Amino acid sequence: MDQNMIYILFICIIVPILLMLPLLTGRSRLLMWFMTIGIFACLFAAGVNGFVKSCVSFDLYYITTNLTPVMEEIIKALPILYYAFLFDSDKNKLIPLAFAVGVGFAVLENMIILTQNFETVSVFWAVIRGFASGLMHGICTAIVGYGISFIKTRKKLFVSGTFALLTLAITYHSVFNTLVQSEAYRYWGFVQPVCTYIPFIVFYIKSGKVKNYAGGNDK
Amino acid sequence: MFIGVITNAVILCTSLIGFLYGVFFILIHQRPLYLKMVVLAMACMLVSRGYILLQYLVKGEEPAVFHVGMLGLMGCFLFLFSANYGMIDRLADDGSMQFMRYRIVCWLAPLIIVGGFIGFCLQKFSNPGSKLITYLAVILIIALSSRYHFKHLIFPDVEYGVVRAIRGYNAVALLLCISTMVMIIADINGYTGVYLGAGFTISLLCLILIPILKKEATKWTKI
Repeated sequence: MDQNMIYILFICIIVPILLMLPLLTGRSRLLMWFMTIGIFACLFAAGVNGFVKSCVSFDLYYITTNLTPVMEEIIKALPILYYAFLFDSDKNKLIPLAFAVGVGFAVLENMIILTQNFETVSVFWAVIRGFASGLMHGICTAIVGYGISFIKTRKKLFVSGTFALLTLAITYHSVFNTLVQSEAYRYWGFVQPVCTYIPFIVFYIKSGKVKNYAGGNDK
Repeated sequence: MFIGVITNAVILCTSLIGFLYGVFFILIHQRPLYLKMVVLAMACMLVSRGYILLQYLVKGEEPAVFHVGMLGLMGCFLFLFSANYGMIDRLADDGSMQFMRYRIVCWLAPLIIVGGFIGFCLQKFSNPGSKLITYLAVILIIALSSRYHFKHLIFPDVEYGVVRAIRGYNAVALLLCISTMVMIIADINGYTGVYLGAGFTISLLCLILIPILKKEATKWTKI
């Protein structure tokens, strides 16, 4: 396999999205921008993870369950923190944007894993992986977005609150990685994000936040 | 391994109940941010114990070095600390000299927690691994959190009575700090019985923490 496969995948995904961006407006464009940022975050995280792997002597299981979640969650949270502190910390904007970063991240990550396991993948694998990984990354970043919208209002909460939110996202991510890598509990890795996502999305839609936001800002 | 599985499974179940209670009675009903942060603290406890339990089930043991379960624990107490320090401490303490002695006395709780940890784990510091160092970081955050729980337990709070109303919650949270410190010491030194006892105490405290807070916080509207 080509050594530059990750860059090839990145270009194949990102170029069509970038070409579409000028045609979008308002909220759609912003969401797509954040998805693009998420894809780029995945590329960056892959580089950082590779560097960390070369620096430590732990086995792959330990690295993927304890070190990569830390790197990935920090990298994914940075654009959300940046947006919240410089532009807007409205919860109803931040949660979808944070989710878009996570989904973008999952898109490239799934492609990378697909190319690494080309011989063994199946349609069933794609369904499980698509739901589980997409939701998990989305939820982890959305947790940070949800929390940032609150702690932004209090200066005293900034450092401790941001760190606490990151630890929550990191640990959640790590539980997922542990599940999907185990032989016995692999399919619980699918259940975990779905069980978190469904109640959240039902509440979110029922409370009318999606409708309110879409109606007010799509200029 | 069996003790580890049982202890973490019980804490996982009770923190899940506590968290779901918080979701249904606090997050959905848009209660004050202070209460939401305590629910997020319980979420941290939940995922942290979930991670440790999974390690026992998958690998048969907890990693002997730094692991993410410790980060979850750190997050739990950071949320509790942030809630007290960032949200309601200023409502009770105006910084005047009149209450200086309370501010000094409340350092007793972190001193006991840090002192207890160092005292019981002193011999381990001759060859500290990454687990001990991370546990020390967890203990420092627990100590910070305990300072505010103890302060809000003893502070007169004559003006608004916001802190006075939630003394039961602060007592439970302070006990949670102490029990977690005991559990960490037992984990490092291999005191199985103490680990189990502290684990069951933590599970009970996780179960009652949010209901007590919710009950007491409703007094805020009546003061």
